[in-house]
Amino acid sequence: MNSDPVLKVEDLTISFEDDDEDIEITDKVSFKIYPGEVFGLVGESGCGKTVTALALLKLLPMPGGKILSGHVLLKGKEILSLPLTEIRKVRGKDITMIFQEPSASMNPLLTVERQLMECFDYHEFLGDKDERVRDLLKLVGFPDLQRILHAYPHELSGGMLQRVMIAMALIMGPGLIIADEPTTALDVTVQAQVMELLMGMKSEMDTSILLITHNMGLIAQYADRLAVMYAGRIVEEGDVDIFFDNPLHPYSRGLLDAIPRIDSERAEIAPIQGQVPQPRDYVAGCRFCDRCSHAFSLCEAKPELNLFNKNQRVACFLYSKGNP
Amino acid sequence: MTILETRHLKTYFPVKGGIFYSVREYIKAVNDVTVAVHAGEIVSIVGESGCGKSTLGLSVLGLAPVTSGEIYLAGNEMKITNIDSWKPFRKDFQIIFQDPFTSLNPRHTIFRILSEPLLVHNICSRKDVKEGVAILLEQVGLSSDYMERFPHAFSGGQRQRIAIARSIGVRPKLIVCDEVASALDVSVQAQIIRLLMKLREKMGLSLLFITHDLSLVKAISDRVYVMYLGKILEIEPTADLFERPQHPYTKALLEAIPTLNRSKRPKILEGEVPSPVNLPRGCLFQTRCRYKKERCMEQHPDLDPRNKGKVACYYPLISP
Repeated sequence: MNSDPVLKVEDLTISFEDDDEDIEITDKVSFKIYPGEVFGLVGESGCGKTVTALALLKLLPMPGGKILSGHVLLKGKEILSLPLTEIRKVRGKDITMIFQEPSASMNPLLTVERQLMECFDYHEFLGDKDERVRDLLKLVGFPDLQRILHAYPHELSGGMLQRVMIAMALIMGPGLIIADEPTTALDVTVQAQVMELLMGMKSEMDTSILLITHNMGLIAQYADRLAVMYAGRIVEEGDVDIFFDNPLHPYSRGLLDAIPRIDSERAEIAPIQGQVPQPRDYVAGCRFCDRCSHAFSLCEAKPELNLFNKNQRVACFLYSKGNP
Repeated sequence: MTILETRHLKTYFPVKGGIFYSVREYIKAVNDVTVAVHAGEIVSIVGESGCGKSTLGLSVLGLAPVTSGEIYLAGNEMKITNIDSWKPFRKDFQIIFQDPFTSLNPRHTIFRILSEPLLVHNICSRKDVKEGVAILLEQVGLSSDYMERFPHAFSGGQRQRIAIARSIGVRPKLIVCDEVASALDVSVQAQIIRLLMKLREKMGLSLLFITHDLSLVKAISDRVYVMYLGKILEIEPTADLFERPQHPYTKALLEAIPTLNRSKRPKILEGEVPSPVNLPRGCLFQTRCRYKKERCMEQHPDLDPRNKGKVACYYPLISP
């Protein structure tokens, strides 16, 4: 990719206050998302992926959440330093978000129409607003417009709500959609519907997507590049095509071995021993080291995310010079 | 030997409404289901949310109000109207729930949680119970030092281990596992599944595995029942189900899963599961089926033996 990134995240460190103490949740997270790209952020719960996404729009829970350091550049422009009034202009316009639980992220007291139209209260839109909303609802697959426009969230199923959320995310034609576990609450058949829709919309409107999920299958199917997060750090980053053939980091490999596979004959699922550390117990060195079968003396230090080859970066001493 | 069997099991939940708050209709959560689990077997029930699989799991243990049908536990017919008479069989049939955060009493210590079933069923005397609990903890890979702690001190995976320890303490013949791994992260999920497999081997357990995760089903089960809107649509040995699904619904379910193989895109099954209150006319799946013909609109097909399994479809995908 030669063009400039839509979004550039640099050294983002986020902390949460707990008992008057700042606990670092993420540690210098950096990544770039290019135009028209689907960038997957994978990791287990508590690894900091959702917190990272929230921080991009300064949506961290207040008080408590703090951005200690780092930059978020939207088309080259820093947005973390913007005052609230300015960042509101970015939210819902340049960057929009789709959340995990569609029924929890809509207002139960307002009709779908009211909620979709709300966007125009905050952003300037020159065209016909009603038509825009109707067009989008048709696009996301609602044939009966009158019914859906006047429906309240409780009248719709999870899949329908998530389609409304997608329509909502698309209204202003954003450059980037953050989809945080968009299908985790849905059944597989509905998941396939929602993902295909999202991808169709992406190509039609030429937006980028930050796809946050713990489902490796979704990443394999829909993402172009990915970053694997573990305990607040990105441990591996690269092209999806290469990653699944040759995962580098021991954690990435372990994760892939732990997933039951429907498409292969491999019967065994191999667990990763131990458990994900709590942010309070994060160590300075490699945080996967106590669960890693390859750990050696160097792992006491912090591994940097280094280039392994043209399309892969990995934070592991196994791949540093002088080691096999 | 058949450990668990149901015949024409029905669990209907009444929906009340109107001026007199009378029963207006029923949600047919389990609608004429016949299943069997043989000794040492792992049987999976799969289906989308709302298909009645969890209700089925609860019903076979008398934990949901069964409307009609027959239930046999280890060959003995249970009286569905008299749940108290099940008591002598309770010990042999256990259940592990999905969410280990709600299935352990937060105000009881681990010792109390694990010792209660041992004492109730006279497995241990009061004198030996501490030792019994320690053995249980060790069997599920936890330290016996944890005995005096409360559930909140443990992670999801550890809690699920405690739930497993509680269920195996009474040395059951069968455990119903209701989505035991879905609330856990993948790396921990694999640990729990492996633990269950190990214990099954050691204790000769049968498992009734209820899940929506078909990949997991493939990894562990011997036979699979596919459930949709309260009815069983297909029964197959696991290998056959994944290689040659006969019911269009099974095939669609398998094809919708995003695999790690990038050349094989998930295929979409249009539509959503209809409401279990207003069941569609004819075949339950006809509203979403792409092979639907006239006959499918008339009556729901019976579950007929075909190849190595059974399928409820007039036009199965594989000819015998």
